[in-house]
Amino acid sequence: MGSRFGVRKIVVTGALGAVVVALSLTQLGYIPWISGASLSVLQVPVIIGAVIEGPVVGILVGAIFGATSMVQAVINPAKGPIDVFFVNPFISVLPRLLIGLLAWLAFRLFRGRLRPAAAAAAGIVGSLTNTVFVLGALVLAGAIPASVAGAVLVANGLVEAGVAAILTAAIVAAWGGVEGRRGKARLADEES
Amino acid sequence: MSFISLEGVGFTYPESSRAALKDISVSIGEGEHVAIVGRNGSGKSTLLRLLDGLRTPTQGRVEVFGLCTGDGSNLPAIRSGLSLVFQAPVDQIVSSVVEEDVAFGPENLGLPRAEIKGRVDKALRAVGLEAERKSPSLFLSAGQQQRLAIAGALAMEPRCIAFDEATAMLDPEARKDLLGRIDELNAQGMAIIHATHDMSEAARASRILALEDGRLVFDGLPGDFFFPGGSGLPAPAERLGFGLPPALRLCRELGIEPRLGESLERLAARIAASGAAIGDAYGAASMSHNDGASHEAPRPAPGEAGDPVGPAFALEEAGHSWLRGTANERVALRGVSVCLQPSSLVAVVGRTGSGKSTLLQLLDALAFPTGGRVIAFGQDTLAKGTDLRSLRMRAPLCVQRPEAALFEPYAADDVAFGPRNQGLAGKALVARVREAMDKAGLDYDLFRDRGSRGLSGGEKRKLALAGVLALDSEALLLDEPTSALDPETREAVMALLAGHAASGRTVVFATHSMEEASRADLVLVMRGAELVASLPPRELFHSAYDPAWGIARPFAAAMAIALAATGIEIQGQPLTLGELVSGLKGSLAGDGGRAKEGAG
Amino acid sequence: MKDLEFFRNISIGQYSSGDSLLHRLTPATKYLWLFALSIPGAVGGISGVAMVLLLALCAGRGAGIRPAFLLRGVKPALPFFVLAAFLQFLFGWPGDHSAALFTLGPLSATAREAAAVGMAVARTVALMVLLGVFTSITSEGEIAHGVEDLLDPLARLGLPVHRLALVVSATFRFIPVIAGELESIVKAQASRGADFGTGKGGPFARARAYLPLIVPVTVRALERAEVLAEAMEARCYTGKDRTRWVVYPKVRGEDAIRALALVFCAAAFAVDALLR
Repeated sequence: MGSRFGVRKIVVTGALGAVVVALSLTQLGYIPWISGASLSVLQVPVIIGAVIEGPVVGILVGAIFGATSMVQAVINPAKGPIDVFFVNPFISVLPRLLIGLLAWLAFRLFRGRLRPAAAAAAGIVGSLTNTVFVLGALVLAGAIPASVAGAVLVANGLVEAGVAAILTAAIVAAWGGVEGRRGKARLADEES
Repeated sequence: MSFISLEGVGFTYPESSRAALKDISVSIGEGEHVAIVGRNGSGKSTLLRLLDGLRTPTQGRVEVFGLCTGDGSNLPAIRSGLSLVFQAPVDQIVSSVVEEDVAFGPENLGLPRAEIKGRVDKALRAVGLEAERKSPSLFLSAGQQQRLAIAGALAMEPRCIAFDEATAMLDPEARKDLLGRIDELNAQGMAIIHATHDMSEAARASRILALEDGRLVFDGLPGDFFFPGGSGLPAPAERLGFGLPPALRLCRELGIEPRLGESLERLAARIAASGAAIGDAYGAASMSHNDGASHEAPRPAPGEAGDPVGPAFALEEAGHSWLRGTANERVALRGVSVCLQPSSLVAVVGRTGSGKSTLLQLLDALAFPTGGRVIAFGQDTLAKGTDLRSLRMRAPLCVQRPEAALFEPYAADDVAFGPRNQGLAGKALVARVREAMDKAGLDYDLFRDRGSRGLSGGEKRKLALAGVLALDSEALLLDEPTSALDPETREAVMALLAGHAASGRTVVFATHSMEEASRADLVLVMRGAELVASLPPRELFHSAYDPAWGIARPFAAAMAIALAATGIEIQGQPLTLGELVSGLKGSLAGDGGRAKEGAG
Repeated sequence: MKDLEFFRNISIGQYSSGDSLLHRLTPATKYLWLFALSIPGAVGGISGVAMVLLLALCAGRGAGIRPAFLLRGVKPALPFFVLAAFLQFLFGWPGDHSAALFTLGPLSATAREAAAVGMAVARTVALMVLLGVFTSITSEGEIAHGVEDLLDPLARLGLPVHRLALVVSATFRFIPVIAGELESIVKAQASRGADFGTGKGGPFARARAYLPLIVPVTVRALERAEVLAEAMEARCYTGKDRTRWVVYPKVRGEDAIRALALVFCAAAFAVDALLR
């Protein structure tokens, strides 16, 4: 990390980490979903950190995400069917460290193209990283069988990835495109 | 070596094409007290950031203590000698614990620990926060947080403290406290640079710099800024559109010599002394004051519009506790009973934390009474079967600093959010958005495709207001809609609210400004979670006024009281400067108040 | 979501101040023990997990925390444990040839499945108690500064570990701030007819419904981070040559207590290996 991890990255990490914590504590980060398990958007601030400030910030916000779900599992364990197993750092923390890293790689890969598209790609990759590795760790720990993990991956993971893509692209557009961007309000389409 | 000097300084933000500062040359001496005045977005904050080396000028040169800010190795010396205090109290707190926050600066200087301890103790003592030293800094009141920020600055043992609209988010009492501390620091030899758009605050300085659109348009003594020039020219403060502090405006209207920093009592005594002369002068002089209130269209008295409908809102013994049943439970409202009539403008006043926001949230069914009842448009907000979503849209709440909730990249889309939720689409939607934006003072054709985040502070506030106006609702609730705005934008917002009420809607707004409250039909006074008065402003600020409420009087009312003490009784219980002046005219022109007094 | 409760005073931890030996340990030691216990707790065998659970309960006792408080999460979690067992017994493991314990309709429990469920439950309970003790005896400030102390050896190699501590304390500092932003955004949007979390419409309609919430709160977080970065720079923060004002004095025998943590961790794995 060296000197490149300056004051700006420190505070952005803290602020995005706090977004994860606040969304988690208020339950606003979970969208109710037909599969019973709610859709999570808590990975989005992690992905944003990686896209805007690079992999180190992404990994650290991911660590805060992991620590939050670990502590939440202790203090407030009865939220959902698998939440209680998140007291195990190998389920809650370790997989989350990878979100920022892989999202950043995806963003770099597509960076030359349209920025919103690259952000959406980072959203999909980051979100799937979360789903796949957390489910994998749950299976390894014996909390759920592999076939259930597969079903959750399909029922929740793919939708979550789509949601994350939309949100990531919207936030990057809102944050990045202040001036100089020429575009039209959606409302313009309704004038005729 | 000069203390602070700027030579031909210009600055353009990298993401912007417009220069924020243009060709500024000025120098400031040790121990001076300088006010920097200007509207939102005129470059005040940018200037302070240049002084502290947070930004380096794109043109020219900034030297502080003889050191150039462009050279990174000078920054520790510059920043330890010149401290900044920002507008938002919370944004400058680094640590969660009070004393650790004060220690943050000295820690960065690498001072020995014993030295840090001494400085922290001294700084906390200086601002009176010793008792809170172990408290969580984010749970302090806004006024205490601003004192904490000063303590953090003092711990650096600076030679100059720069305040960036540091009073804008405080209630009047906390503001008074802070201004007193600023004067005190200056008296002890500390140089003060105070950026503000409040002319009464600026008048306390010993020198004024005025910025307009990034240019320095005035640099001189307050007297030269606020007093008219010799050849009948208006004062620079007026010529540049900043306006005058109310006391000076009164002096101008009465044609008596203006004096800075004069108490109301002194001014009243002077008016009394020159009594009859003023009356004569006024018999002939044409009134040229421009008080917002006097321009407003007359509107039907509340509840007299002939409609048989009941009150818009009714609270019956309503109470509210946040975090009920937890260790952090806090009573925010206790036993409030009041009826708010349709088609009226209602002001809610009281100190920070007195329950104003909670009251507004109860009216909008964003919070629910934990005791008593809240009836909005005849519906009990707690009753089963109440459709909260549509109830909320009938009286949308504009939260404090509503611009924070803008989320669409383009301005018009954000305004369209509410009406879309009401089911509007196509041409009807566009018409609604156009009307709301035009009403809020943002031309639809000009602003439709503007990026929301690229707007200025005042424009963002107007956009957020357009977002609630677009709901075309029966009522409108606003939590401090004018906070942190410059006087001009404030006036635009207040005119908008008054006009909205005049068109038959109920408008309820919370404010710290008694001048604004005095324009309402009804004023609710909150103190310590209780409603202590609900009266029309004329009665409230005159016959019924109780200092225990913890609110000030508007200038005109306070002045009328001070004049009454000298024997000049003013008819009509004035609330605006215009009313005060014509009242004075009435008392003095005929017989003269003092003459009557003498006869009696 | 009818009541939009006041979010500003949320707290993430459950620190309760006290004067026990455990409370007085330096935060680095607390962290060290947390890691020394959570490794065997998370990956060790059943005997290691049992040792962790036992020691954590004793430590809680020593710090004046009732076991009932530490185990309060177990009861509400029971249905989920049963659900986990049900799922395991419903879906077989591929290539599981261990002995069947019982069969009940579509459910068939093999020894391997039962062991997996048992271990998952045991681990969860042990780690729950361990984290419960840690969060009860470690304050926010200690959690932040402890990171720095724990990584002190790396700092000597020239790594800026105090910045990590600053990240942790910045997070704590931002939590009430962001919660306040969230509250104000939720209320602003709700009064304009936003409808969070009712789950109407397709997934994309639903994602769109979250735009008015997630976009502004994230953008506000980034904006406020920028302002704080400025305030820190204005107060001479460079990241170099800082004094650390808050220090935690070691209690007597603290070094031995730290060494014991490593011994315990090794012992837990050794006992596992012996009893296997």
